[in-house]
Amino acid sequence: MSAGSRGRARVPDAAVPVLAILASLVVLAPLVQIGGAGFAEGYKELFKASFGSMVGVGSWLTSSLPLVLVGLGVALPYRAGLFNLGGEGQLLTGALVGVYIGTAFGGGPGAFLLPLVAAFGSAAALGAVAGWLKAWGMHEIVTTIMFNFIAFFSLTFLLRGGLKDPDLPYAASRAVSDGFRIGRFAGDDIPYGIFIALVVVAATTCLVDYTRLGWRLGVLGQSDAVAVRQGINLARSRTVAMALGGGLAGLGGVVELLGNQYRIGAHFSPGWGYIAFVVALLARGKMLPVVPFALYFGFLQNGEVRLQAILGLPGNLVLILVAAPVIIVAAVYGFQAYRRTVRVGT
Amino acid sequence: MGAATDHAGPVTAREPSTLAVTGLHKHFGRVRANDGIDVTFRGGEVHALLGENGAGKSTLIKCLTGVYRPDSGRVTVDGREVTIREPADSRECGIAVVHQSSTLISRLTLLENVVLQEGRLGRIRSELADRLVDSGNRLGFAIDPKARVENLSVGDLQRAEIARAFMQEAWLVILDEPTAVLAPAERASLFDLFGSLTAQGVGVVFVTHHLAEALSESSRTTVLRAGRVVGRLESGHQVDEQELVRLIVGDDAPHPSLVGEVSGSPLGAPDAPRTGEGASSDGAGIDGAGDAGEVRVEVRGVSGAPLWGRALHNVDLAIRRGEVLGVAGVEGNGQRELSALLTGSWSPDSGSVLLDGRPLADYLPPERSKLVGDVPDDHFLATCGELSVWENLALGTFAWQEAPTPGRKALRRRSAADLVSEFDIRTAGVNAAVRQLSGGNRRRVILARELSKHPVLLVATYPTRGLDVRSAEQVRSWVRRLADGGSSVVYMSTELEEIIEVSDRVAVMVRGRVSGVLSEAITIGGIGNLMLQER
Repeated sequence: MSAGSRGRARVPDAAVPVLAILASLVVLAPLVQIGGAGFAEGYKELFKASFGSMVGVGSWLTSSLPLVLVGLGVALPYRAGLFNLGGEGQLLTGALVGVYIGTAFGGGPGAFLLPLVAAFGSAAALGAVAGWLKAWGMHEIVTTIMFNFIAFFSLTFLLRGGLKDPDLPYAASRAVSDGFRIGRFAGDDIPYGIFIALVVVAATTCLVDYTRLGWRLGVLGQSDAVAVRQGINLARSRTVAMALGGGLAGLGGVVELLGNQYRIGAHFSPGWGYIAFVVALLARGKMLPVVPFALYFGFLQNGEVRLQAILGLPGNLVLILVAAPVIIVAAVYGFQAYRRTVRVGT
Repeated sequence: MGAATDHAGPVTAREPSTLAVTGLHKHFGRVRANDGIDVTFRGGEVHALLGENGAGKSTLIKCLTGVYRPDSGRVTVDGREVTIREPADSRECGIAVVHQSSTLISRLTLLENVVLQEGRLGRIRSELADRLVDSGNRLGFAIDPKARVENLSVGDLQRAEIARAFMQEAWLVILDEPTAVLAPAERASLFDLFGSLTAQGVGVVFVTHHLAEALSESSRTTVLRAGRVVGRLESGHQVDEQELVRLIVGDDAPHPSLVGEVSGSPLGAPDAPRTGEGASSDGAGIDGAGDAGEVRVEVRGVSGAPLWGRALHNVDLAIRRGEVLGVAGVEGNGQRELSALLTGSWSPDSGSVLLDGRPLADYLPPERSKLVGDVPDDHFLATCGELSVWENLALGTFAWQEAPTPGRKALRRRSAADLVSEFDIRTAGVNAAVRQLSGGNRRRVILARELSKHPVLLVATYPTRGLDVRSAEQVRSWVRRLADGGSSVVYMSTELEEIIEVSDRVAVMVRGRVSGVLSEAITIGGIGNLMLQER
């Protein structure tokens, strides 16, 4: 028989996350309604928050930047078959290092590169430990989550002591010197940080797709057994992958610090490390797709405040939009994998 | 089924039934695995399904046992149309299948496995145990229901699965390549068992690559090629073997080696050392065991065990340039460990492997991946199922030799097409995921990759396992050609004729030791003697 029996049309894998996001928007609609606002109005406000003005666009990009960088920091180890759930701790580490450097010196033109490099290095060290521990049988999911706690509580501890700005009524560090700050352009709206993100995206894409190291990490992500047989050192490669991932997440922290908040407090991150995991998952471990998904979640986050302020809706509603696509995507991929095992057998 | 226990004494032969398949189609993407198959299986007779890799034998069986759903076609049992959606439907029709690798859970006992499959935990175990033993007895062998599966041999497991099927009143037992995993003696007893089954009215369907086996053990043979039935034979008829070979492989060139196997292998005869076509180019020097070429690979006093395997004891081997060193022995005597050792994926506790006089461990991975070709016994060690054919072909190159820039990727993708045709890999295209390929074709992907890099050392571990005769013959000639081009080859196999045909010298492994190396007058008897040696 011919064409007719090729089976029903399948949704291409890459389209699944996009469809899942659309589905999650549908899921949210009745909840917005229950919350007391018309859902059309809700989505309009959400949209206006980011696209209503140049200021909106700027704050949208600003909230997306950490997601792009931390998202890459999760996606890269994901290629090598590793789950970096430590984005949160790694970005805090990066920001913390940035604060120490940024408050200790005056800075100057191009000085921001120093905290960038230092943040990358220190967060990479944190990631590397998690990757290296895997060789000793400690799963990276467990270790990276534990590192999140260590980083967070170290931060709050430091904020009780020398790190705290004595002039502030609340616990936050002193602000980084002007000479280290990453500014904005186009009427002081658009963060220069987007250029850093572009460079990093390009660099990681090249690394992953066009280098031998990237190829080896990809093979490792496909099969440990094949990797070993190809002479790939598991422990070393995993350490490298997690180090790179940690470093990228650390960059996310320091770019946010130098470009937006300038200080670090206990609420520095609204959970970017975890949202970035969602971003990387939807991007299916590929580098470039991290960008649109990060922009989408940045858009949600940016609108969250407006939903609260103008419509009086609980901001947590937006978290449903973060969580729902993950569940839908996981279910679809799980189902496809199941069908594949059933159909292919041995 | 509950009534079974009421039968007293020997059960009378079962009512012979008939399973008829008409117009069965099953496609995977563009691959037509089954392309309109018509075949009839009858109770009380042995039916062989014969064909090359990828001919559609396994697919047909999976359609009949509910693993796959056919795209179209009819299946009838005694004229009544049945729909087989899942394995349970197939069992209900009285069809039982014995897979090549046992589906029993290894940490449970046989009885526990039976209870598990019966799905009725309330059933009294002893009753099931009795029935299992009874089934075994009626088929002519003893069975211990309390034996743990992991302690049984492959042959025991097959018999146990057959007994289980018999106990469950199956009237048709389908065996997927049952003899591929059996030692010669166990093969004979399996064929005896076929006799007992048919005497009880049970039909047997077995899949095989072996022409001789199909002809001698079945009363009916169906030959499949490219998803279609291309021949039907009944016992008693005069069979033109040449003709049959042509049916199987589907081209007009005669394959002398195939026919040779059917008429009793001349290679097995004593004092008939390898007279392979490839050797002539090397002259007579090779069997002279001295000046055939310098030693390029040396294993010196290796002892130790990898985490996953058995121990090697004081293994010493030397492989010369242009030489194929066969490693014979019953599987599990250290071959996998030797293969991991020689490819550098395992470093022993003591001793070393020298490649051109330098320890293999001192070579950096890029050098090693260039110099050592690795064809492991399991394709899961060498191919990534989710990656495409071309990516798998470029796996080692892009990992170590050259950066996978867009230009080089395009280049490799194009050259992959050449390898696909040169090594006759049946695939929908170079972009198809390797998991869509049949086992034999996955192995061809590995061979294409490893042979095309012209390694100094090729480690081939059971490279022809699961391949049909023609493919196996091809593999041996590729390997031979590689050696004639100056590579050193270590060739492991459990088939002695194969070893003798392809090797210049033969080492025999017993319990992790090399019990001896034969360099002249290599015969089955000589190898057999070494296999029996225990130090």
